[in-house]
Amino acid sequence: MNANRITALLAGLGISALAAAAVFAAATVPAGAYKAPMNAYGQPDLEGTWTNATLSVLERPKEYGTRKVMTPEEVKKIEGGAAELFAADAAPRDPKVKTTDLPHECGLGFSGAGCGYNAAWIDPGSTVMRVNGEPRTSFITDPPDGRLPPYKPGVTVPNMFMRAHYGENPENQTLAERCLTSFGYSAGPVMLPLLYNNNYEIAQSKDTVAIVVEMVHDVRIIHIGGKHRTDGERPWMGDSIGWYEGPTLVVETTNFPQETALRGAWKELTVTERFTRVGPHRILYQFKVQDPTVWDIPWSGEYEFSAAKGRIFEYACHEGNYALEGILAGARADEAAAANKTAKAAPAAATTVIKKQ
Amino acid sequence: MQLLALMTLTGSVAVMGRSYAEPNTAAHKAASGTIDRVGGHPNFSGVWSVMNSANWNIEPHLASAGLEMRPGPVVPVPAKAIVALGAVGSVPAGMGVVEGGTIPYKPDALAKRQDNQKHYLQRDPEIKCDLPGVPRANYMSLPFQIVQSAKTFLISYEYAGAVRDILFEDPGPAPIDSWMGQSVGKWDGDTLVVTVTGMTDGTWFDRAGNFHSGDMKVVERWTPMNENTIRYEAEITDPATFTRPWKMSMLIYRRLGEDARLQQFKCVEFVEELMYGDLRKEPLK
Repeated sequence: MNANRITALLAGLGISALAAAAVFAAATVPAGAYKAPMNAYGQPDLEGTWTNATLSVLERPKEYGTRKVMTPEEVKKIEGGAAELFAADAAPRDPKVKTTDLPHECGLGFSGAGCGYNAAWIDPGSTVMRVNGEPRTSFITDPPDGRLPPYKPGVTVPNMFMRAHYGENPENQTLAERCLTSFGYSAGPVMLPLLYNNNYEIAQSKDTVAIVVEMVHDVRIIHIGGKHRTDGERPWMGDSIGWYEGPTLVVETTNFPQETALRGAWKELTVTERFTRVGPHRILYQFKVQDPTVWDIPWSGEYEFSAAKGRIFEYACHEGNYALEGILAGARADEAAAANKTAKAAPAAATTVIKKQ
Repeated sequence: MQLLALMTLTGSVAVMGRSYAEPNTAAHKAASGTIDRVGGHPNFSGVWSVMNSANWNIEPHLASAGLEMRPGPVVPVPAKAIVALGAVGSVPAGMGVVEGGTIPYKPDALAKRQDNQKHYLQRDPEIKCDLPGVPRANYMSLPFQIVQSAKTFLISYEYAGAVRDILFEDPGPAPIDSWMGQSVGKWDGDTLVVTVTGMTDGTWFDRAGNFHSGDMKVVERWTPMNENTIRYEAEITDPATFTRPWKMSMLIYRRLGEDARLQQFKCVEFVEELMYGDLRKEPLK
């Protein structure tokens, strides 16, 4: 399978190659028989390495309407199709193929060598997200259509890949290209899965919960029993405080910076997350998003983290970021080539003028 | 002779005309009963930092005008690139943290250290905001937070968002080298002993050009002295660079009250002009 087939697959599933998805729901935790373990501090034990990799998406494809759960046939089609395509991509390919043979356009803004993300490089998961065993059509559960509510008039959501002055300065590039944060919203909140590296570690002390994010080795520090800062400063990933409600860790985050706006919201954005162990290897993750300057109503959703096999390895992005230098140098090379082309044409015009004199 | 005898008695040795305080082994015993515990072990959870100048130079040193110098008409003067910083660019003095005062470099490695100092501005990985490695991460001026439970020991560093997860089950050799290495811990009484391997050769010990190879092994010992103080020791083994294993030792202090909150120091964006400024469409003059 070539790269455009992969991206076509992901687009078909509703997975953004840039950002992708996450969860929600203000719904209550199902009354199951599972009793969450407690840690040495008497808190619900959430520690471990977890993943939210999934074929599911934040916003529900419109064909599902207000239906929250997929049919077995729909699940089979998506999971089977993904397995088939990924297996095909893993098959040997013609070693004579060159980068110039890559498709010119492969969707989602990628073209040529940019189509290089084949199955070997991505890990978006292989299953539809189950919540309490139900295969879900989206993470968002409210509004009932599983989609973001309409934006208020005048609100604009910048396209992270359609930035003005692209290639002119390092500051014009995306945060991910600069190794400042991941593509999309991996660290959150809301924590949304990506094309790869959807792994997290949770550590708990008496007054702190730390969430290590594989992408760009971000660590979100949640102050248990703390208060939001009131100095007007807006740290990366916002300002998270938390508390425990029975078996659930509740986290409230405000003071987001504009650079990491969530679907256009940052200034008055409040994200409330709920983490609840619902099985030995599952954490129910529910979220509620509200920003009255962006949407008239809150939106919310849910998904489940599953226990990840193994541990998180170091994602030393900046230390190996030759791509940013390449992007800028490439832009300068293009400009130089264009200038040379102009210069070759210019002498003829100049000569003409001289002759006229 | 009498002076030497006195130094021995007091646990001090003379280094470069100054006294270097050798750690008192007896003082390394944790004040058991006065420290918080979790899972039966000392609970290091909290925000910590050193109060020394080891990140400037782990060896004993007097204050100096700058990290990179050039010949002057009378005495060496700061390199041109740091002149504008004035006193801010100067180096604070320090007693050093190397046991015995001097790092036992092999001759060729010592020459490389000296050369590193001549080209400090081009070579110190901290200048480019690279991950700091171990042990350097522990004695940078910025604090770090330990999040510890009965089964987890996570260290989150303010500098560059570096992070370490101490593994209590040895997974065997690190499958790949990394900047922060692979840390495997075990408890020796109240002391947490962490063996760090699998680090690249891209990190330094300090801003004074002290370096190591990619084969370095670091054995750390974290011993609580009381509720708010840790004796930190690190034994460095690197036969490619040093004639013998050597140790560093220092105190790490708990940050209290309003200071006990880890901030963010994502320095990557702070070095973009340095690293990519010449590639701007219109480079700054």
